[in-house]
Amino acid sequence: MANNVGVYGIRPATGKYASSKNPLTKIVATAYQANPGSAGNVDLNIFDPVIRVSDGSVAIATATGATFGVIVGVKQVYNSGIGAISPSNKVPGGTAWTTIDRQTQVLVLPVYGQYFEIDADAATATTLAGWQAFIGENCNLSYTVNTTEAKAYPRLATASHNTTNTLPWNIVDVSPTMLNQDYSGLYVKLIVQANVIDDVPVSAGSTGV
Amino acid sequence: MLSTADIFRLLKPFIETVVTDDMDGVQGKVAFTKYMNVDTMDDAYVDDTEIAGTRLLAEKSEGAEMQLDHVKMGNLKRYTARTYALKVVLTKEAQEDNKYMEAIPVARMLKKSAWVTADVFSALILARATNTSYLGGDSQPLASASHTMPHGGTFSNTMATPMSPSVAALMQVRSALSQMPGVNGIISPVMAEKVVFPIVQQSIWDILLGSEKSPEAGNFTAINVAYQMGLEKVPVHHWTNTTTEWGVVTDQDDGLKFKWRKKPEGSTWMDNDNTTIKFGIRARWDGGWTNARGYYHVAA
Repeated sequence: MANNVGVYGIRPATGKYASSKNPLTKIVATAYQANPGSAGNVDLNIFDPVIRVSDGSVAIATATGATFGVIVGVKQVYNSGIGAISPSNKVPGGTAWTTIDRQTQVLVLPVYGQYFEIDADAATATTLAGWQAFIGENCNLSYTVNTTEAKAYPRLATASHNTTNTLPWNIVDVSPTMLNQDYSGLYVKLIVQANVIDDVPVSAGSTGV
Repeated sequence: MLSTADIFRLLKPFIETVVTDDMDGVQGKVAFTKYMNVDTMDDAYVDDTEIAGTRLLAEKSEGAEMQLDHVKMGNLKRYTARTYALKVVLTKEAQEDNKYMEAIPVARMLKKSAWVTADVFSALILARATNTSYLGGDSQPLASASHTMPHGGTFSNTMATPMSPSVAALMQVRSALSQMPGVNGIISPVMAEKVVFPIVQQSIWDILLGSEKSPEAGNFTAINVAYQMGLEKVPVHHWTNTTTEWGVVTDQDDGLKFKWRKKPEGSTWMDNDNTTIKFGIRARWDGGWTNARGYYHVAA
């Protein structure tokens, strides 16, 4: 058994109805510190899932809860060390800003109408047919937090696969990527869509098949 | 989508070196062209089949009618072109602000991705040689002791008791190939031409095939039979599911095959609504094997 190459995060694959939708600019609250499942402090990275917060910002989604979108870019991050806005590919945890022009802003692709590719967090199945049997079922996410890298490593918790409607992600397909080389190894890539959505209209989740 | 965030360090001209993947000569660096029979296909799908010819003569008595034989059609192997594609979306801002455009040659990156994908695809044929979920025209995996023949019976293209790379192993391979039945079931000797192996075995094969005299303890002045076989070494970079299995490509026609329906073709287009530039690449191919005698597998 050889593990497949791991790829970070929840990656946009294709649009569900047409081409991929446009990302939206969303704010991250001042001094926001992502700590998924209290497993450790991490930065907000591209391809992390986020939810809406009542103050208009976004925060990292929980492993078992709804998702609004996926970060696909970082528009601006205030660097207090140099006293200026800096371009970046991540939002360091605890980044503080005080004025509008120093707001932390990220680009978020809403999950509605979008398919994503994600790594399975375990070798729950060992053959292509075994993975295909999960199509239509729902799953939780899992986070394998790495505090050294300050990354959340969201993956699909495939052991949780079930038809239960409250599970936040639905398996659509086994990814046709050539990165899927050993179906008995770790990090098999699956195509998923959000099942429990934090958006307008809210989706409480559909029962899987 | 590749935005300025993804290349934020390249927005100012103070980077000494940008390290990225080597993209020079990608076509010459892939391994699959060295062990697959590469050709093209003109249709959405093409079929290979086998015909078992006549067998051995029978003694005929004077005046008696000569014995009848027949020609029999065997298995069908269909190659169906599948499309592989990838794209990168680059924002206009990233293109305008990037001070190191040569560091992100998206078109060349995609070209490399296409050729490496074909390389991985071919390596997976070897990696799945014994996997019964991946079958050939005779409903057997590539490496099987039960490949069928049109007139009946089976033949094997896999070592019954697998051996690690060694002179003795190659001697056994040569012996097995020399007794390989042809399509009509009659022994039709097959010659080994190339040895294919996961690249981690490179050094072992360098010693085995590069030494004129015996490379193994016992009698270093003895003739190295492996050297005399004149085998070409083909390390397969993407054969990663094993460090011990290996195989031999033979002189049989229509063994391992890779068929291009459309070689990698890049395209670039603008999305004016989003002011992004899209780079895409697309290729079509299929691969597999028609005649399992073209490959001999050792599942060590």
